[in-house]
Amino acid sequence: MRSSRSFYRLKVFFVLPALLLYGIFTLYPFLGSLLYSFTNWDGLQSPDYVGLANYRALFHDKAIMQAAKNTLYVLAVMVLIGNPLSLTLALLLNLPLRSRGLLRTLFFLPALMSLMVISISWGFILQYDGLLNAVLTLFGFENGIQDWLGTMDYALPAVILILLWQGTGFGAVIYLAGLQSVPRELQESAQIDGATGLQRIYHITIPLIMPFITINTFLGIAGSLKLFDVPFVLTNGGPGTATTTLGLLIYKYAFVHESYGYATAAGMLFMILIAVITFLQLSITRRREVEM
Amino acid sequence: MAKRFKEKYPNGTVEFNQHPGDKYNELMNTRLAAGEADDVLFNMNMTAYAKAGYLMDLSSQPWIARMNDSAKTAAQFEGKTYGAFLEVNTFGVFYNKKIFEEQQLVPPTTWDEFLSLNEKLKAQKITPIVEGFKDIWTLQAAYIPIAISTYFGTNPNFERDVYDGKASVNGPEVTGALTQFAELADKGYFNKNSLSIGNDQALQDFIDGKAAMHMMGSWTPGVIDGKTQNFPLGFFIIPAKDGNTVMSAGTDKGLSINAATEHPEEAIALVQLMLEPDMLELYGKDNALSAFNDVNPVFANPAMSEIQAALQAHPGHRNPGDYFPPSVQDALNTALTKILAGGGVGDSAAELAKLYEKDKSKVNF
Repeated sequence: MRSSRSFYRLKVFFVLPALLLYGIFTLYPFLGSLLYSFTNWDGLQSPDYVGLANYRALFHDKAIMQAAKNTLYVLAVMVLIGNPLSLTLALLLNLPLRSRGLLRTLFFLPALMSLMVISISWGFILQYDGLLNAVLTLFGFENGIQDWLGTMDYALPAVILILLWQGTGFGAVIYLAGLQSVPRELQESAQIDGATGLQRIYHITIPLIMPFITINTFLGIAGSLKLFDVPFVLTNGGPGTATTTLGLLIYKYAFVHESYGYATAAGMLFMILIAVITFLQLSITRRREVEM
Repeated sequence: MAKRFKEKYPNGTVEFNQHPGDKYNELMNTRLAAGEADDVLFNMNMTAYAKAGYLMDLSSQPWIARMNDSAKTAAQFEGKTYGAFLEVNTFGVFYNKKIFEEQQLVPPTTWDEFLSLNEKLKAQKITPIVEGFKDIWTLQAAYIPIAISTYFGTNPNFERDVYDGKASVNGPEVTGALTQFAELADKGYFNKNSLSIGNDQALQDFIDGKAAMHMMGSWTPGVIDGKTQNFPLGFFIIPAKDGNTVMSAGTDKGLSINAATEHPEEAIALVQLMLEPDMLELYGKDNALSAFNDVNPVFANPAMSEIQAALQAHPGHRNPGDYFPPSVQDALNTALTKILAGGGVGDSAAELAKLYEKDKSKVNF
């Protein structure tokens, strides 16, 4: 009895440092933020309590609505196009090709680079005197040249393209791990029963790799919702508000507009939005996971 | 300067605390809030800091009388003076005299003349104006020379009137300036890559003769001299469309003392020393217009004399937007990038007016 209690104490003792750090660097700032979200704090003068005014104003904030629209657009593309793209790439990379080791490395490479570096490099490609326009001119498409990041219609698609370029390989690697866990006997017996390639993918592979679909969808959703760095470096949310995401707008509210209280309130609502969306996604995709 | 301080005050030591560009304000805000800021502060938020009680009241300092009017006003909050400004700057159009001569163009005297000279350059396949809007702050360098007259040409008290509810951000002043800016953008007078290059490249393109004009601040001649020699640089201001042509007189390089300093006497002595006429003349040599009436720095570049002449010939006013909250200025830049991307003026001014109402408490008159 005594020994089990002292073992419990020992366990508490070991957890303590982590708990302390979590408390200081996560829990305390979080609770602090919650308080600040009810104030008009401007970062300089001491904050005044304003009740729910910040939250009420947020629901009439056109800029927030526009940023939410942009963010959900990114999310939709990443989940509906990016995710299947990763899976397709993984299926291809799972084929018995001689060069597949090299190909896997090549496709995974962008995931190893910092988003800052990627943003700056793609900036050079997409800018008006950039590589893309040079190539277009070389092949006689002078009429098609654009300031890709400086045009209302193309800026957001350009940002999404960069995200797809960077993320597809990473998603594919997760799917590859999943594909290798699918037992070969199942595939072979299906083959003997006369199932075609597509039938096998649909009825055997996909149900068995459902947990991997769950995690990739989750990462895609979370990544799109918190998207900040690429538009911050490439376009600063512009032109106009064409590439302003929720994360970027909240940053601007705090550090450019110096409306820290309002920005914190926006951050709180944003957190709830992320929690709701990811909870819905997890409960939907988890339901389709099958036990082996 | 540190050496001279040491000569005069052998027991004192000056330590410089430098911080890189972007984060300077954020860092200073944090350090002020934490009570850890330096004794003497270079800052660009004098009225906001004064309002928050972070700055020492320097109203009794003798050097205040030597400052010009715009610097005096800019350093004041509720009737007290909280610091000095070392420089004034203005914005306008720098032009390549060689290109203008070849095209037989002269600086404009009306807004329409300005448009037609742009048109002539464009017809000759010369980029009329080169700007590097990727840097964002550069948007203001192209907007201020237009807006200064449109905001204040008919009503010098426009921003005060907005504050008092007698005029609106969603009125002819802001809408007019945005529309004039859109005219330049929509007619294709800016370089096609203006949103994808920064100011360094824009200035280099101007120096290389790839464009005839570059709208920028009065420090530009000094910068050009640092990069090349004998560039045929000229300067003019954009004539008002209606009303008087006004010139912007911004104040730069604010110098204040931390209210919580442990060395008030030394800090006051150091500031006094930094503001002595010969120190300021050395500081402004070749690149900065002084905010002090008794300081006349020597300028190697003749364009600086053209700027000074223009400043003497026209009424001056603090930069448009100095009395708008930061959110309105940011949204204004957003509206300008939208215009540049072909999105038009739309209801931008109405949006700005809404933000003004929301953040009016951040305006420091």
